[in-house]
Amino acid sequence: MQNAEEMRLVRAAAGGDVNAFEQLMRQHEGKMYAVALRMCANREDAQDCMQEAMIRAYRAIENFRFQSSFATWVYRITMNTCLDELRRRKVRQATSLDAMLDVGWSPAGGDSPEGKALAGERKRELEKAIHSLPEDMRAAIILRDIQGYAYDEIANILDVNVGTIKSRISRGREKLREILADKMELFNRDKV
Amino acid sequence: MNCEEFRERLDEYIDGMADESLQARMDTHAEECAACAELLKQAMDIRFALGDLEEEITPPAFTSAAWKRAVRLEAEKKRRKDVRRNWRAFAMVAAALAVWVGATAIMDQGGLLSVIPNRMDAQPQAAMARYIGGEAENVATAAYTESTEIYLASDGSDEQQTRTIGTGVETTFTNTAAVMRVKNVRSELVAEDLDTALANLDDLVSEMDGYYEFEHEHEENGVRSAELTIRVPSVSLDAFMAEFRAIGNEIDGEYHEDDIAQNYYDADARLELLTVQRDQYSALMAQAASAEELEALAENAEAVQAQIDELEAQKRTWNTSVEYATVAANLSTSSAQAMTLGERMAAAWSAAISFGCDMLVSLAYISPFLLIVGAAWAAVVIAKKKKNK
Repeated sequence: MQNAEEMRLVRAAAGGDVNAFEQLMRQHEGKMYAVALRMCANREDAQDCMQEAMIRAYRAIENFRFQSSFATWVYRITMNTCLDELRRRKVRQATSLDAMLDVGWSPAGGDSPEGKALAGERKRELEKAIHSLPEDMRAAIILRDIQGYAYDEIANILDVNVGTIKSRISRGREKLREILADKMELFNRDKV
Repeated sequence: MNCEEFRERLDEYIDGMADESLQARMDTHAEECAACAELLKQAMDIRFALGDLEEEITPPAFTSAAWKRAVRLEAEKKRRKDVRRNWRAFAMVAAALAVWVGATAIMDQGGLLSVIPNRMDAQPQAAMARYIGGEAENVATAAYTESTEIYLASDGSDEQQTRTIGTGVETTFTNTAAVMRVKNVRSELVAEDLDTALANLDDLVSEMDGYYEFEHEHEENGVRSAELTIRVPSVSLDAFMAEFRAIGNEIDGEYHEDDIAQNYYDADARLELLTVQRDQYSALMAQAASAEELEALAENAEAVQAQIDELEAQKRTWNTSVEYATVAANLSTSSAQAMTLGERMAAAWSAAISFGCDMLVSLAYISPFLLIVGAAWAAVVIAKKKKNK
């Protein structure tokens, strides 16, 4: 979305225009849902977190001052909502990845049936491993290694300093290697 | 590079943030150390796998619908909250305005907003006399010293001599702090029937032990009116005016109050001095050495006596003025005095301006209390904010 158009929609939404808000957030709901799904233990929680994040965004949009990008601001709200919900419930259920795959994921992978099966298996194991991480490491890994944010942007989103982010990412990657240690053949790029 | 440093710098390498030198050293170490090489491979494989995961996942339709519905509900809640807040603000402003108008009306009733200043306050240092049954009571003290020079020609020549009499005469007055108020009212009444109104007025004046000082009736363009000067005991003025206004419709009125205590006191002091002078002249006359001297002294004594008479007459007039308020009344029939729409609008506008001025004056009276309340409110708000932090 063009910046000027985004600014226009932000200002309209801040003035109470619900239609402008919906149009604005439609551009970000895919990323918000991806974050919520990976942060939360199950699809229902992800839907609740996303709904809560949207409400928080609507309440707070009149205070948005364009000091960061709108996407960063949205991610911050989404992450904080998910973290708040996880801390409140303290539930980490084993995820039914099959059910999550039902919502329309298309795992990337090779063209061959074996390639697709391998890619699907890799994705499942990876998502399970991500879900096994503590919340703070999980958030940092999702934002860095999946969403591609820089360290300082992640620090801004999660409202901690860059050193803390580096530490969480480092420990998160180490933990993923531990979890996936006996499944590394799935991740062998030579076989993809 | 050793294995420990390799592990420490691994994330930099994975994130592509290692400079060429570091990258080369790590590559070299990986070639030499199988364990670190395996670690690097695993880290890179997982890193790439994570990067393959979707950044965006399209939510199901019911998920999208759910958040849109929730946002619209939130918008409606916010709209209602804003309406309630606006109504609350409006009610607070209306209540504050009502209190202000009410306070102004009450102060006006109590005379606090009177245009005529209180002369007692204007002269705090003045000694004033309260005359109760004609006798002075002691409260404050003032001293007057006066000397009088007389010109005498004891041997008939043009040479003038002076003899000072009454030098250093001190007259001490001690006075109470009350006032002598002369009350004057002007009122214009419109009545349906002039004769009935005049008859009612006669009864009222008689009932209040008042009297007419001046009466005049006239007719102009078929409209009858009467001009009257009525003297009413000052203590009964308020009761008289309340009944008077019931006789007809008061269309104009004015009230004046003058404090003549200082004038009265000054006159009394002067009178005392003049009395002493007169008595001294009388004593000197008894000792006069010649007819010429006697004549001169008698002339002076007469002059002083004339001043005494004048002052005593003035005092009697003042006493009457204080004892009896003056009401200058104008009564007329309604047909003559019916106001045009323009006159009524002008009168209404004038009354509104006057009331607006009264409201500003009342604000000055209540502003200290507003300041105290405002300061207390600000203190509470600041304390709450500090607590929330």
